[in-house]
Amino acid sequence: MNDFLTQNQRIGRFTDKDMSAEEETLLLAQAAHNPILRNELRLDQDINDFVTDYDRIKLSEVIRRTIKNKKEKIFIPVGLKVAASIVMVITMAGLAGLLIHFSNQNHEYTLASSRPLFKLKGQGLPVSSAAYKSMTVNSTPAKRREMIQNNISNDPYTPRPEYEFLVGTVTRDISVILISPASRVICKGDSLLQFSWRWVNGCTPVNLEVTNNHGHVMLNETQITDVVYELNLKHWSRGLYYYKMSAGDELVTIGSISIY
Amino acid sequence: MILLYTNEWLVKGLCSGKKSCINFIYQEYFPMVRSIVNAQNGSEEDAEDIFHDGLIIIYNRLRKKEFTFQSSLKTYLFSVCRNIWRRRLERKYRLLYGTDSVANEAEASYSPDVNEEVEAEKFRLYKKHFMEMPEFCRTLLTHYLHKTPLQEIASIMNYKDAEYVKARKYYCKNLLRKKILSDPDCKQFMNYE
Repeated sequence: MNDFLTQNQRIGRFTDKDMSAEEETLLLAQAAHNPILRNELRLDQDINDFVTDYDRIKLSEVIRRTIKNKKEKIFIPVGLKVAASIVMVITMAGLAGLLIHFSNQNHEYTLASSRPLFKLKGQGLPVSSAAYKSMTVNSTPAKRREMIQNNISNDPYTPRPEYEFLVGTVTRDISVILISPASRVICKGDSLLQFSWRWVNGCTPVNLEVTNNHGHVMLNETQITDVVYELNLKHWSRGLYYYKMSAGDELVTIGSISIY
Repeated sequence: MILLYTNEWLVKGLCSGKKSCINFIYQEYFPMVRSIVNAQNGSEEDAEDIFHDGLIIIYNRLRKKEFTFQSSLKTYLFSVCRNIWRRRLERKYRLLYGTDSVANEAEASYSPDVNEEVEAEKFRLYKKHFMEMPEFCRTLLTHYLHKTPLQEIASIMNYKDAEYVKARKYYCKNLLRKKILSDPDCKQFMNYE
């Protein structure tokens, strides 16, 4: 028997009070100088106390088993999870198929409904899907005009037909030459738009009017005697606007400002 | 079917280790313990340990005749578990807590005892390793420490004589001691010196 086992036997005999008085004194003297031995003796006593308290071990086991049983009850096997996922995917696919089938059967109904399906772009500006649908369904010019008017009220970027074809082309008065801005301006909402021009035959006061695509006047500056006018767009909402510059009674130019 | 138990019945059931009572306590009170632990990033295993230790502490207190409940078992278990968890966190992360929790403890009439909590933790550790030991070791140690005569143990376990029983007992106890000492959790509270 090796020394280690002998030492353990001595510890065990000490705890069980199975030692002679001399042996006990000797072990206690050793323990006084050896902290590891002291720890071992205390641990041995703890183990004895633990094992003799059978009721407590039994209670602890009941608690552990209760926790374990409850955990097992809520445990879902991996196979079941996979099967559930497959069933879910098949169901979703079936529903999607039915939806597509139904949509194809009721194509006309879907187009005529007011619910937007997709969006297209026309003349560089976005056109609402409702406009496209109405164009397809309503074919007469009167109905198309009515449709455009309706769409203008809905979409801030829908071009206004009576201004749109004049943008950049009107320059009747030769007394004023517009330098900036360009006929079609696209700028951010918080930017500063500079209007500048040059007089050809002396100073002629200039009028500047800006309207939105509904035709409402947003700005009307008259009798501008300077050659520069700065328009602050900080509080202007997103949308399409038209500016109209005139000198006296003569129209100089019409342009568009698209604020995004 | 979940039966409703009164506080007295639950206390009695806990003292006698009644499965139905423990089951009820677990179903009704464990979510509360879990919420305490989860609130400070504790895991499900931490919550289970705290719940176990809390019940063991209450059981130990109930065994002392002079102890009486001044609140419901639920409130008491809540206070005990919160204290265990707080001390465990303090030990792990050296966290400091405010005074409001102390005020609530006073309301719940639970006076925290550090030794009890350490004892409960030690008990869990011993039990874990005890249950992991071979069956013959558990039986032998239980019989031996319940003062069953060596000759009787030898006949129960089919050993040749009392001396062999003693040798096997030393072996088993040594095995248990080694298992406990090699556990990293043991170092947290086993340093007596």
